[in-house]
Amino acid sequence: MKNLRIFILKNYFFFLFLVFELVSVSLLVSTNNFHNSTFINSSSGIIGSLMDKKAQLMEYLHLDEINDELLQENANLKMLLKDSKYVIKKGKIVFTDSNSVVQYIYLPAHVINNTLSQQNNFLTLNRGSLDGVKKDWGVTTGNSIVGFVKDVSPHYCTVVSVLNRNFVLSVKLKKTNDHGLIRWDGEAISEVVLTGITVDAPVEEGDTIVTRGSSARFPENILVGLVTKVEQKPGSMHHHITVELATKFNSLYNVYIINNTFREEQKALEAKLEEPK
Amino acid sequence: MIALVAKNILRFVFLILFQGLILNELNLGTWFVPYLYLLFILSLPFETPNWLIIPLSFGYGVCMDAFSNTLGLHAAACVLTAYTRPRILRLLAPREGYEFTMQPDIQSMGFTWFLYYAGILTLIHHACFFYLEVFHLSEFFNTLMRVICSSALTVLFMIIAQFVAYRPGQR
Repeated sequence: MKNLRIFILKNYFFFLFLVFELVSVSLLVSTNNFHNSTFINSSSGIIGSLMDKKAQLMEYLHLDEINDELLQENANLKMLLKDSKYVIKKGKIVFTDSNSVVQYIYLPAHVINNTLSQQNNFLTLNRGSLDGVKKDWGVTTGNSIVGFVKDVSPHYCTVVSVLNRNFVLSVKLKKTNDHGLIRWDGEAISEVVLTGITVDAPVEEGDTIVTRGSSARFPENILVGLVTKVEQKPGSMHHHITVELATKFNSLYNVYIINNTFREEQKALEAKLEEPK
Repeated sequence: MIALVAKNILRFVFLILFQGLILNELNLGTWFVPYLYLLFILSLPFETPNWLIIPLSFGYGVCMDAFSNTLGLHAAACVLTAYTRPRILRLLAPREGYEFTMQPDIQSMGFTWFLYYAGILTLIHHACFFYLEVFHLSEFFNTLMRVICSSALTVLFMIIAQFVAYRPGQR
């Protein structure tokens, strides 16, 4: 016992290092499992408000791009107005309000922090639990996908970006409905890899990839990007497809958090599939 | 002594904010990621006691982690850097040892000494950081290139920072 104490005292520097290194790594590993809520992150108190100040500053630098984006979005929304549609078969189909209910509710938010250079990138938005934001809700720019909510504090939430090794999303080819999975390979911030589309599907460069709507995070048919390269590895049954993202992550500012009001219903029903009989 | 402590606290706060609010915003692709904040651990005085440097680096890393949502990642890399620092210092010690008035910077130790010192420790820090970040070895050489490229950029930033922070006549 005495010898052990002398040994530890003699090498205290090494043991000190060992203890702190183990604490660091266990913190890292335990928070890597990312449905655990983390309490030290950029959505917490002081750092959240600092990030907020920075975002206000950055907003001025990006005003031009933001204006363009908003104009584009306005144009898209105007196109969807009832007034701008031409009714082909007048009198045959009658739409009343009771025919449809709102499934997706959009909550506008601003990006106040956005990492790009890491392997697991996150965003921080200025909406939190006081605005009703919950974990796992999807985030879009209005036209294209951004990520999903990871943690929520009263005024802020953090978002797992598409540019994150832990982000996987089920998508489909717009023209044929063949579906596969996208994930980021950690290289360029404008590209993701699409796997799982079998070789008999007619994929070409320039094809549009959209969301499939199976995850209960995003509605169907939200733009993901365009196919830029189609490869086939010898012996593989699947295409290896590179997709150029429609979202410009380096100038992201205005986003929408999506509340799928049928989410609980879908998840509860699907959970029954996994229950033992 | 008090002035020295105050100077280091100032450096702590300034480098954290500079890295968290400005440098993290700098996007040069995934291969070039400068982590200038490491300069704080490198610039601690020679006589910093061993029992202090590891907890201090751990706290420093956790502060940095709070900015980038990577709890434990910067901390692990900083603690490893702090652990190897005394060994590197012993390795690079001048023949007559370190004098009390010396500081680990270009001004008092010279350019070549600083290049070796910062180069070795930055490589250790970045290797630990990038490999832990990826957390598997399947892209070993890809990550290695990122370590080397980013280290070169970080050391360049450190040298520039030293020339900006000290006026030439101040020796």
